[in-house]
Amino acid sequence: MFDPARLIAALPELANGATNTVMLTFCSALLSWVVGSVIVVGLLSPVALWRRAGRVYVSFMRGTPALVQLFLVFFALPMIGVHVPPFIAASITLGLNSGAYVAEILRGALLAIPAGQIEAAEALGMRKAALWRRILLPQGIRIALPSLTNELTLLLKTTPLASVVAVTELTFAGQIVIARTFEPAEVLLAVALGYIVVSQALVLGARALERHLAVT
Amino acid sequence: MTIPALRTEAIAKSFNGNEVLSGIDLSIMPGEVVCIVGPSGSGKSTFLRCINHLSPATSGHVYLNGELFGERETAGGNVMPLQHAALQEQRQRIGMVFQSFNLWPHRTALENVMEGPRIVKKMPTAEARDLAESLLERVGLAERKSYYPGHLSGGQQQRVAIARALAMQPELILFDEPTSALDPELVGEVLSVMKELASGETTMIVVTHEIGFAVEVADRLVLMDKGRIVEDAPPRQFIEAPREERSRQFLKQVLSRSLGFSGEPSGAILPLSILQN
Amino acid sequence: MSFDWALISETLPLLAQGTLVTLQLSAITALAALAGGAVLASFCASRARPLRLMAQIFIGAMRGIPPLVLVLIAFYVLPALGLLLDPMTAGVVALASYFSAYVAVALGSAIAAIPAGQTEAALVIGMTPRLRLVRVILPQALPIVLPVLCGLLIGLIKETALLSVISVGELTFATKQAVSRTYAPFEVYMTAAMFYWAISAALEAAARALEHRTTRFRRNIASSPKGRLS
Repeated sequence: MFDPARLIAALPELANGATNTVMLTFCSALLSWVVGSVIVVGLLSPVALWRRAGRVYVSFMRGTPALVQLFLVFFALPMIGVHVPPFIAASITLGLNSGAYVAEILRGALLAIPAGQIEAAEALGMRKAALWRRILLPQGIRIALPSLTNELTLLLKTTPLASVVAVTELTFAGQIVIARTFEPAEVLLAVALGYIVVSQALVLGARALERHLAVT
Repeated sequence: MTIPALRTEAIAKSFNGNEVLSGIDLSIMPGEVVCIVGPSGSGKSTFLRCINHLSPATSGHVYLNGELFGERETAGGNVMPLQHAALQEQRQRIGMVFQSFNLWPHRTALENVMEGPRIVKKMPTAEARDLAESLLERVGLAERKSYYPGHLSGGQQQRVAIARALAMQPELILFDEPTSALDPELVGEVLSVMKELASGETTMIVVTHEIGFAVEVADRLVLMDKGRIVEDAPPRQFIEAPREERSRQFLKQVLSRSLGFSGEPSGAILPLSILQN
Repeated sequence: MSFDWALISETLPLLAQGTLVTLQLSAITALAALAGGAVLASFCASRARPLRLMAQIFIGAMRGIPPLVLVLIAFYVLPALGLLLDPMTAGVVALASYFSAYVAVALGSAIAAIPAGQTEAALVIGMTPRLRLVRVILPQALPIVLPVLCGLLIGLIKETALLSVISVGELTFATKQAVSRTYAPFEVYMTAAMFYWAISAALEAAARALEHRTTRFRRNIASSPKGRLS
């Protein structure tokens, strides 16, 4: 029968897992923004080769399962002599994966900026760097923010994959508790609830940021 | 005595406690053309939408050729709203032309006109096609029949919409500001189609800002203001000797606007001859 | 690194078998998600408040919980409730529930994107609700929703890889088996990735072609084969 005491006893373990999930999400997100920014430069490049390379990257990342990508990274790193803990391997995979989606979001946002904005800046004699810094990036970020938030919650929901390479994030912590207590229903429910709480917190934080950045 | 094609009885309508219509009584005889004019927010469009129950009245009744519309009398003498299926059956008898045309973008002009007869009335396809082609001919768009609405001008779209309403062979057609969404240079082609209809047998209620058109084609001109009918008279009488001060005021406003004292010239040039008589 | 092609060709039959299972699983799950999504969307549009509320809570939960956790719940918890499902069925139930929420949202927003005037024009000529749906709403909603559904289908095929965790013999599970036979994990996983990639690319191309067809009315006049005399 359901014994709340045993679930409560497992809570610190689950909380620890949740902390690791948040950390994993955070590290992957940071990497995904860097990767996305680099790839979007390729996607919008005047050089056909860069555009093609960007498109192939995005297509591969979006066309194959993140789980398979995780195994690829996990097994490829030692082949090139890199030995890192599973947490890092998982962060790299999720960052590379999510970076493809971030690149697409940024591309859409940058293309959504009206041409008149660029023309107005050029008419003022703005240089290219200033154009990016003062016109394109601030406006692009505002347009992209809701989609980036959405991508962040999707990234959060991809982090349980790290459990298959034994990263003790929330899902793996749950599985450990289940193996000990044989109470899958209660534990998995608690795990699911944990994800809902974290994703709601992410969404609320992003909404606050959106309001903060809103022009009107 | 003939039965009115349409009679409304004390139509009232409120939105969240705000009364938009307060007891509209109006009768239209078969073949008659009634133009409803009035300032924006006077409830003209809401009244039209109450007639065919697109937005049902809070109280009051509508009679189409003497028959209760959108409602039924129960055995106990109470009046109840009709079931949706029965309402849809009745709605086939009242046509409507919208301000924003509302043509179906995924169907060609011809298919838009055929849709009602073919799908709702279950007319054989060949017959529906003949009917639709003759109606498109009548509104001057025979050669545009295979165009999708997205490739027609606003004026052309509205003419297709008029043909679509006619295709149901309704007992009455409601026009809800049919030219208000059009560029000024396209207003004329729509008005001339409506003029042609008005000269025939078609019973029409037209909510419009085109006073010139209203004066020329209407059998009766109705001024609405603040949810009431202020004046209801033949156009000549309305213009020359309005009973109400409010009507005089309205005419003055419209006249100054249409003579171009404010803003751009509109299609609503009053026939000055009428005023000078 | 050097690819051992002989090793890869040895594993191909196993991977092909897994691909077949992946495709079958995806097809069943997609159909179930489509049906479930349509039901959810109709609940969301229902006049009955409890139905609306139920559907919204379900959609919120499905969008908040990671698919892997849903798979584990279906695998561990449903049997505890007396629903003895084999791993494959449990996996289909989990993924179909997950994707039905996204299908419902896609359908709902596509229908909401159609202007109210479209329905009004159908109302005033006396169309019944069924006719309004079939003749006016769906033909306009489908071109909007089809690309989204194709995207979801590609996502679904990728998520079936999660079922390897509960030992369903789909492509990723087959890959694991092949790895344990060949000890060449990178090569074999890369081959599996190519299989997935090919499926996704093919679907994406099909989606583009389909979108081109369903939006013909936005581009040109009809090429009516008969009755056009001019």
